[in-house]
Amino acid sequence: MNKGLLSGRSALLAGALAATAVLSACGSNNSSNTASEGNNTPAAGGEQVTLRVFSNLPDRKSGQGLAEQMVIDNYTKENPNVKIELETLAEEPFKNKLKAYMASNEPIDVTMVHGGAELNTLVQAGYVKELDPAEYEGEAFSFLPGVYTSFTFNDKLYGLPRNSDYEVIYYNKRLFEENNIKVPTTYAELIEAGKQFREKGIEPMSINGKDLWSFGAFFQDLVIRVGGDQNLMLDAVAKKKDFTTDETFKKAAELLGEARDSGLFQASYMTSDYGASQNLFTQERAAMWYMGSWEAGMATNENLPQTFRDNVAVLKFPVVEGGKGKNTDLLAWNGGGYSLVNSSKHPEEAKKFFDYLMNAGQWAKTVWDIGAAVPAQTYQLNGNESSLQKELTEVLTGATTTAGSLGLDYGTPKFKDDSQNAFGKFFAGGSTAEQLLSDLQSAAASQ
Amino acid sequence: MHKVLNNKLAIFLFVFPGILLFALTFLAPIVLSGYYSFRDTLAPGTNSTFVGLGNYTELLFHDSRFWLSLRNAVLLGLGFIIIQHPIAIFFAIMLDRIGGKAEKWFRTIFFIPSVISVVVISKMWLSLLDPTFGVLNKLLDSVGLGALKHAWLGDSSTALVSMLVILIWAGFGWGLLFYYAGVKGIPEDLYEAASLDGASGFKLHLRITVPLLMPVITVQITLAMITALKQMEMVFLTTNGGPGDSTQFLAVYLYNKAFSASQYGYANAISILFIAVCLLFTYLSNKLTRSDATEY
Amino acid sequence: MKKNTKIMLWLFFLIIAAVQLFPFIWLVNFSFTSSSEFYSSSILKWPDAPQWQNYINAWVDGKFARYFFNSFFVTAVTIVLTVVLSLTLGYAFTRMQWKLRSLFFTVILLGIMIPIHATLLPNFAIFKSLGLTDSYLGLILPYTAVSVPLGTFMLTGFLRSIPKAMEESAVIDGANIYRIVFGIIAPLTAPALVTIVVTTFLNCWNEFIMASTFLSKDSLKTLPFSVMNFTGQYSSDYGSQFAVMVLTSVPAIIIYAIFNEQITKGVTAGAVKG
Repeated sequence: MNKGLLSGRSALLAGALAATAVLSACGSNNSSNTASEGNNTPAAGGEQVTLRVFSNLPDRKSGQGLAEQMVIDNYTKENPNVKIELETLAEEPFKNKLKAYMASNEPIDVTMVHGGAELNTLVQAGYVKELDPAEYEGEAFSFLPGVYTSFTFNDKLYGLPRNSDYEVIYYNKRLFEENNIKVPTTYAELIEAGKQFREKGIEPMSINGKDLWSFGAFFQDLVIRVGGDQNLMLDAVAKKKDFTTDETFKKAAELLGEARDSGLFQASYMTSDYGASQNLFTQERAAMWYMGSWEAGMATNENLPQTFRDNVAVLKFPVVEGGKGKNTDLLAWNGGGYSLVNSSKHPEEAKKFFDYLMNAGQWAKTVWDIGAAVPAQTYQLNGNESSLQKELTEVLTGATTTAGSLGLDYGTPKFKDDSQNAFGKFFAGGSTAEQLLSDLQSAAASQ
Repeated sequence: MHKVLNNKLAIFLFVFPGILLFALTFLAPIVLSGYYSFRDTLAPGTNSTFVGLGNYTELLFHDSRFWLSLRNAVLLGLGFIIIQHPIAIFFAIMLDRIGGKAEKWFRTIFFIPSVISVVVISKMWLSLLDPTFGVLNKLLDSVGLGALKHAWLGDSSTALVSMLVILIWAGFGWGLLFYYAGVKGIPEDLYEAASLDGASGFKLHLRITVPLLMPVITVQITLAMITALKQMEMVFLTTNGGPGDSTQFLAVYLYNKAFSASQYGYANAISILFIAVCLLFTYLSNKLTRSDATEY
Repeated sequence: MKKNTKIMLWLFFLIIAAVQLFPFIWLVNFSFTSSSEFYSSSILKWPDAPQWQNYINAWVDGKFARYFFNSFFVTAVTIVLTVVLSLTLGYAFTRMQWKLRSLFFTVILLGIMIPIHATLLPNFAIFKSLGLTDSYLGLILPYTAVSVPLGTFMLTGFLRSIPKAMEESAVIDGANIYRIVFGIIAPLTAPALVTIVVTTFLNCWNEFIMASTFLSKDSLKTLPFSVMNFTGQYSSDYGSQFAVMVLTSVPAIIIYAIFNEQITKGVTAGAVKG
């Protein structure tokens, strides 16, 4: 079957260019025009249309869900003949429901998709529509280079990314200061900080262990820090390297074992889902949270305690002593996005809305302005950014290399499931570093 | 009488809707599942290739997770039978003895967990068993047993037992209700006769009550085994089979294979074996516990 | 000595009652607190200020009234269908004489054993092609299908324990088969029927896997599903999450409390005779 077709090298370029793109967008003021301007001929007073949109963002009042809702509201205001029927589900039920929709060829119009393995399944089922990349060139969309990789299969584009995703460590400055614990820059210091927090009765680092994928990302971060090579992990998934023979993997797996055995993660980490791990951090019970860049909205979410919002900051994944990787080697990819559905009953209206949504002035601008995520498109700094947003931007613009894909998403869905299970086994204490690697290897080999 | 009970039209009208509904929601999907179980496909609607018995041989001979799921279900079922049911029988007898208003009140209270949605129960227990903020660990701390504190659901050595405790807690009301009903149906004079023979207390119940409850016990044990095998929602919502497959069950495993891993053909092979296993267990437990009072 | 055992028994029962009730008390307690209080070190906590807002969130954003109606409607129709079908099937299986009776009886009883999750996805495809998804019927039919086998099982047990004299004299009076089943047997089996009503109620009221697979339209969704969705929407707000859980649980508890006596009677009548 067809792998993600990504190359880490092209994504590397993306990171570097993102830097210039962000900067050059500063001060230019022309991106607020909307896509619908050019082509809303049949719109006003036209035929009533109801579009079905399927999303994984149930929270419509803050973060990315708010951004998505704002764009939808903008669109229905400008196109009174269009009604948008939105269905939202939380992440896991969302994925399952989308599979069920795919199986029955349900005529929804626009759906949120996860790039990589999951989108690949939708593509093979013929459920999502091919897009013409030429239509999305230029200033109206201004996608960063290289961001289509997880959405491209056999050289054809099937969706557009909504964010630049990269793993960071969010941390609580106050908890570090009050307990006189050094903010870690090396992995040994991270482990040490973990031990110190644990002694003080504070959970060191929160992670969504029940969902398992964060373990995969953490491991990939370690591989990058040890080996200094973004492609190693992806090559191993694509069966060009071997998990069991390469020294880098061995070292990374051992370091992963240190995190497990030293109690770096919260006590309940194996049963914590996304929300639980986040709450532990936002309620200031955990000093750090290992998560992706899409959580910038925490700093501006008024439901969270003020002391937390004042103290949340971002840390790059620390370097490993003796490792070849730098802390500017970033585990970045484009995960979430949107696709058009082939069985749509209103293909033209659906595409109009889709193009509107993906216009740089809509999703990208909105999501950045409300501080919910870092877009996959050039965006303007508006001067009102939270310090968390600025720090996140610096992590991205300062990146010297980027991964392009999560290793877990680089193979088939079966590989993802099998390897997540391998990590689950490892963290449940049932296996050693060697076993983890051999499990990963057989997961890669049997896909 | 005979003529009325032979009314063909009435029989048809009585039976047909039920059978039709049954065919639609059980038989047709099973046939479809059977078809897919011989194929390799990501999902219905995608390319699929015929693999013969490939999925089945892989499952039966190379998939340790499948066997682990089955083992967990059996352990859970045994847990029900060895722990939950004796407790329920004991409580049923005691409830009958306590009498009066208390009998009614306790019966009501004991049943309340059984009426609450699994979604609620699972969230509740996740919080109660949280290693840091959960009530159980706080309780252990406050009585000086802090050393026993544990990530109950998050540790593979205690996860299955914790799951058993939650399920016993949640299902206790049902078991109690059925045994209680059984106890209530035992005529008082039987006890009197037995106590005249000199039996009393525990012995009395062992000699009189338990044998008379046998028909109920038979049905309940079969149902307990089936409940264990079918276990899905609670696991799905608390541990999702983890940590490290320690609470993996067939229904959860097949759900994840179909949805997360996109191994649709394989998942359907699990479905078919799953159904076969359920039927086999029903057959076996009927055979083993068969008594003349139950007939079907 | 006798008094002592009585006291011991009482004490023991009180402890168990506390264990059975505690989680619910705990849930109610924390539905009135703010998220940060959830992480406090006490087991139960008197809220600094009762957070009625949690219940407002649950009621308004949880669209409680809407989902409550859906749950109520779906459950009610399912119960009616289940009772009617269990009654007719049960009667046909125990009293009437026809050739394939034991075969069909076995087939229906298999419905108790077959795990619904094993058939979920093909089920969705079939319902979809029949245009049944995204309608009340799309839930009512599978719920009924799942409830009928158990109902039939309970009812056949009960029917076997009823002497045939009543029916025989009715036949002599000239009653037809439908009068017998709905006019004579139905009232006679009332205790068993109540048990079927309540078990069906609890199963449907709390079901969520099928609901979340078969329904997309927000206007059709049922309560347990709303708990799932609401916890996504209010993932950072434990108090509101708990409030929605309390609201969902209360109707079930009330219904149970009302029918408590009848259920026990129904089970008693049916269970002993197997």
